[in-house]
Amino acid sequence: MIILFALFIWGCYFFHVQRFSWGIFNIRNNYYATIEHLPFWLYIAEYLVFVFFAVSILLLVLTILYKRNKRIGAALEYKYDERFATLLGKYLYVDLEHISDEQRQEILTLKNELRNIYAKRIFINTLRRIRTQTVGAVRERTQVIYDYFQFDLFIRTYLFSPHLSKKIFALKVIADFQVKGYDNYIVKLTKLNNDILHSEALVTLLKLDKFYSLMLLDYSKMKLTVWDINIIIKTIQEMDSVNINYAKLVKSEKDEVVVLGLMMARLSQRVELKVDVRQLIGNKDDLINEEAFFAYISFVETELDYDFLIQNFNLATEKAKISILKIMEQHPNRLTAIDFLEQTVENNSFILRLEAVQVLFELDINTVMRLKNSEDKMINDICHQVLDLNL
Amino acid sequence: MNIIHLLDLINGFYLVYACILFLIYLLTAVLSVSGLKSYVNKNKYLDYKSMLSFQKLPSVSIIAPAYNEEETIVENIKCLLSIQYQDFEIIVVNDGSKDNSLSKIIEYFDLIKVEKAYESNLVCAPIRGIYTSTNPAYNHLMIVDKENGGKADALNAGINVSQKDLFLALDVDCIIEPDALLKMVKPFLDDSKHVVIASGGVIRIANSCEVANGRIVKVNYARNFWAKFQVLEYFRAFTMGRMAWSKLNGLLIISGAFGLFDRRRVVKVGGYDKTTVGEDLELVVRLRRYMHEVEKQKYRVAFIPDPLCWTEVPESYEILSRQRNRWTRGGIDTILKHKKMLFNPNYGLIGMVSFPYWVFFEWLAPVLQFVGIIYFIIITFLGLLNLHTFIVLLLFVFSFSVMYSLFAVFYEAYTYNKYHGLSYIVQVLFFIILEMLIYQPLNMYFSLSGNYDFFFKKNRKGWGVMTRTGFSGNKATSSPIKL
Repeated sequence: MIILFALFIWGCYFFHVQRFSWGIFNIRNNYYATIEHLPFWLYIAEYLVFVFFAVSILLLVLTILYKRNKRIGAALEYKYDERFATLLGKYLYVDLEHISDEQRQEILTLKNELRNIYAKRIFINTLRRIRTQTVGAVRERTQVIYDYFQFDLFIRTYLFSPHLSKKIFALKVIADFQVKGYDNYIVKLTKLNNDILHSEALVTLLKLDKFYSLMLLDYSKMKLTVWDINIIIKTIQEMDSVNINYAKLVKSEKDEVVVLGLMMARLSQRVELKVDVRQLIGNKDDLINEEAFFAYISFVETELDYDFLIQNFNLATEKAKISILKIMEQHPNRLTAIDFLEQTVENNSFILRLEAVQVLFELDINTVMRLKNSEDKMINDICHQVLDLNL
Repeated sequence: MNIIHLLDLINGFYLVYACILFLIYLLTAVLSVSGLKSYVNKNKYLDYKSMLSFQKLPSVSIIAPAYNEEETIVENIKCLLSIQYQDFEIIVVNDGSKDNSLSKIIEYFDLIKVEKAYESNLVCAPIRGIYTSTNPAYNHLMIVDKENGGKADALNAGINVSQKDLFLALDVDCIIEPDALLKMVKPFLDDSKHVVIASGGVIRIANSCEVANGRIVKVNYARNFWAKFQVLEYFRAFTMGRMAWSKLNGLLIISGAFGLFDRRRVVKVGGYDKTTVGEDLELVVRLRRYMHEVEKQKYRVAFIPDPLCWTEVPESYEILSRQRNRWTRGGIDTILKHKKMLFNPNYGLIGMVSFPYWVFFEWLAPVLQFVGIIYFIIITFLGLLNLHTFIVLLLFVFSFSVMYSLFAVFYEAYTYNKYHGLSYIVQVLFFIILEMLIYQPLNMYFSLSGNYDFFFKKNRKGWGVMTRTGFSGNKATSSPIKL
């Protein structure tokens, strides 16, 4: 586009000049005699025809070159990938301090090969793949190999590169191989207004066991998305040990951080937070409200908890309501549960009615048989469905 | 006013119109490049499969209407069943097929009729029965057998039966990539500034591609004469056009063959409009109107530039003409139904830019092209044609068109590079040149006939007969989709 624009300006300029001089360059406009008789707009149109055809030829050549480069690149990647995977398989069990001359020569060849940035990236990716797919001794050996080849300078260059994809690559490697020394810079990245970088930097900090990073969320300008919350939880779930201040998260001033805290509290069964969670039920933020219900449902212990959920049923979102109905099967007081479910069947949305009848079927089939004869056609249909599917 | 002044006026009008159109195309190229580059950079190292273990992921119903698809329906459903997602259901709506589609599905997937209750939120033709499988391997599958009512009606029936958060409207004969749903759902999770109401994806042409087990295994450039033009047309429309409009958050259409929607909002706006043949365009416009008029929230219609869905395009002149005629009628119908939005600042960018673009450059462009040709003939007969100017302008349009198409081809190579071989490049070049001489004038004719049918024959709802050849040498099936 820039070329197109530059050519256009250059062409417009040519309309007015018989001779173009710049430094030692002195170009005569051979077409001036023809041009000066043309209206300006027609001249521009003629000139643009030339530009369009020239750009078309350029695009055609670029397409051919790109396709060729991509084909060669793919073949090279395949070759490197195969070779590195084989080599790594071979050296995963070898003590790199005590190797034979033949092995030393092979490693030297590999080191030479890894001077090429492209090869280096494929090698690191292969190593990452092995690391993420293995556990125990093999996984530890990938760390030894990574350290042995001293990729730190390369990773540093990538991390500080202005290119987004290079930064992300570096962050992934830092997280996987626990590269130290960049924490402060990564903290800065979490505060940037770039969703992908923000989320990747956060995950990297978590993988580096920097759980304080979750508290950084309070100060970040970026709003956490559902995607970020999912990624953070997934990362934490994949880690062996976690040291998170759940209470602080649940009490955060940022809504999304509260949601994150509630979800993590539920998943790690932090029943001690029940009182805090209870206070969040009925929150004006739908997501907080829903997650508070989900967390409370997972903490339910006594009859009082079940009754609390029944009392606050109308405050819940539809998904939370479905979850409340589902746990009514375990209500210590069967009669209260049946009564509540029957009320739900009578005046609620289709999906809630369906769920309520399904739970009622488990608790008391006679109530379902009675509801089957209801004058409300929807209740009638739902009861038929539940009976048809279960009997 | 003498004739010279009148001619100057007409010339001036066409010049301004053409200049605006060319500028829009250039802007489209710039925006699509920026959008696509940013998308590719952001998603380069993303592992979509990690979404399968997410804690908070919306549930999805895949709704696929089917009419007389007995030859390919089983294979198509098998392809759908292999999709990767956490919580999803596949609802195939048999829209009153007259062939053995239903019995074939029942037999293959061990289906039994069940008493399934559903909410009739949207009006649709009566449902005759709902079937689910006794085989646990197919527990995601549900078949809705209903009386014939057309595609929009079948989709509405599917939405009524569906109970998930989102629904994917899909042509049953489309081939989708296994991770298509994961990629389409992502915008619903990762936008903190807007509510995402729908998400559309790129559709690529599957004619002549090699298909095995319901998957594209080798991408070939179409062998059929008409399909070759359409490959280029789809490059421009999806890689460039829709990507650019999406970048501006001004996308007005999500292809009816492949689009993900927020089910709750679609129900609120009344579902698909059964009275139009452009139900895909109409639904997106209505959803956008609803967001402006009722919810008044910042919202977005997302677009995924990855080639996720492959479809078969018409291979004969007759079917192509019927399809384009229908698209034109659908477009006009939608424009007239929502004319209130035109240059209405209350609808923001949609009212001031997207909708006017659709009116002036999608609907009226072929009409103006035709008037231009008539004008050319008249001034030629009157001896008022300046041959030099005419040739320059003709070359200008031709060279721009070639450049724009080549840019789309180049960008396809730069990003996804699905087509290979030198013969592809040679053929593409040949067909880009031929397009201006054959395909574009024909498209103008199809569009004019659509206008004529809409305004003079009052044919607003007819779909016409669509014939599919089927993938990988499958037998041809003739599908009269409802006249």
